Amino acid sequence: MRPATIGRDPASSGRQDPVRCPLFAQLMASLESLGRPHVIDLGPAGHALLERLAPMHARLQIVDLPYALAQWQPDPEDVHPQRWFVDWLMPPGPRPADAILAWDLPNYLPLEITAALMHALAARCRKGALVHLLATYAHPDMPAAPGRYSPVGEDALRNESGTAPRITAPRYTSTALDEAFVDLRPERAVLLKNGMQEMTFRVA
Amino acid sequence: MFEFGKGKRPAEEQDMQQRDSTTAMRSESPAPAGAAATARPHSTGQPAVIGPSIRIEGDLQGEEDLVIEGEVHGTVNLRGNALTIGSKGQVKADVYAHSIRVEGHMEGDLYAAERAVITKTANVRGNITAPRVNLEDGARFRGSIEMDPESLQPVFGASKAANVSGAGSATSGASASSPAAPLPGANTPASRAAGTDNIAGKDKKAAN
Repeated sequence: MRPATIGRDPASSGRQDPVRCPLFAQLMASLESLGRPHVIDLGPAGHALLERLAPMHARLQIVDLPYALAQWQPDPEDVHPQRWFVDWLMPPGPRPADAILAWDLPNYLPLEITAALMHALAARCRKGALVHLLATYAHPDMPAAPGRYSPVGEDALRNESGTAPRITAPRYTSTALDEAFVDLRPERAVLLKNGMQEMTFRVA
Repeated sequence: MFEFGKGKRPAEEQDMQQRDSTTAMRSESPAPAGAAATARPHSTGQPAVIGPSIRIEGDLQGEEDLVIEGEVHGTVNLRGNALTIGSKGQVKADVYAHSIRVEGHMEGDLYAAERAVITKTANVRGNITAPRVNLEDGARFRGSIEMDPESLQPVFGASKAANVSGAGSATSGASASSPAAPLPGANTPASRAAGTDNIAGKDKKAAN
């Protein structure tokens, strides 16, 4: 069940300042050392990420899960609501993925659906692939819709979304996510200046 | 000049003979025969235009630039030229061109030898293989973007791939000699297959 709207974000009248994300910087450096990496981005299409990955001759798979979320009409009698999202994923590519970017999205899905998605995505990855995840943690509320994050420079991300109503945040702990993601093992977690938690998991 | 339903590989010829007979260009408004696709010679410098009222089913080939504002289902093959899918265009096809610009609705795989541009008005579901890809913020896109020039070799041949190799690094702002440790189990370029998965063909769910 989606949380109720509780107000407007007083600080989100426009584009937000970039937030330094040390684990993102590490991930990008690792992908650069790989050469021709395969990255799955659960977010919407954006120019900045593409530009960041182009010098690596990468393969970028864009899932646009926020659009799937917007299209989703939960049925209380549906005992497998995760199917809608798992079916939304594209068929596996010609080579396994090296990284998954899950920025903000776990906040907007029931944990069992996020877990089912991660299970399906892990099957599309090679062993040792990294999952980079952003989740609201410090603040009790969050924007009503997932943000659109773009890389800025080498080590920062910026939420490009504008004004949005606020809703209650689930505030998942890294332990709760770790228990839900059966195919992943936690690696690092960092609390960012904007109150979000930056986490990396590795495909076991 | 443009050709419709011709130029198939030998293995496909027999099959295509039957399909050629069903290849259709249907105009929703009365138009003189042959006026459906306005193909112009190279010398004019103007691209040919498939207008908004035109619907084409079949394989489309040509050797001049083309703008699609109508509906095309099948295959579009303009390997040496530029293709624009205009804001009114609706294409459900695999597309091969020197450069591709999408402003409208596109479902299928795109192969561009030089560059693919997806504008903010575009709605694309499929895979893009091109050494340079420009994806404007606001574009609706679901699929894969392959920026490895080697992936174009099977499509455009070695000479074309040689022309574009390193093209992606021309925009490089990042160092490849990072001090970070590589990810374990990393696959090498030589081990990677150069194909793409056809979303439009495999994923039957109406997405966008």
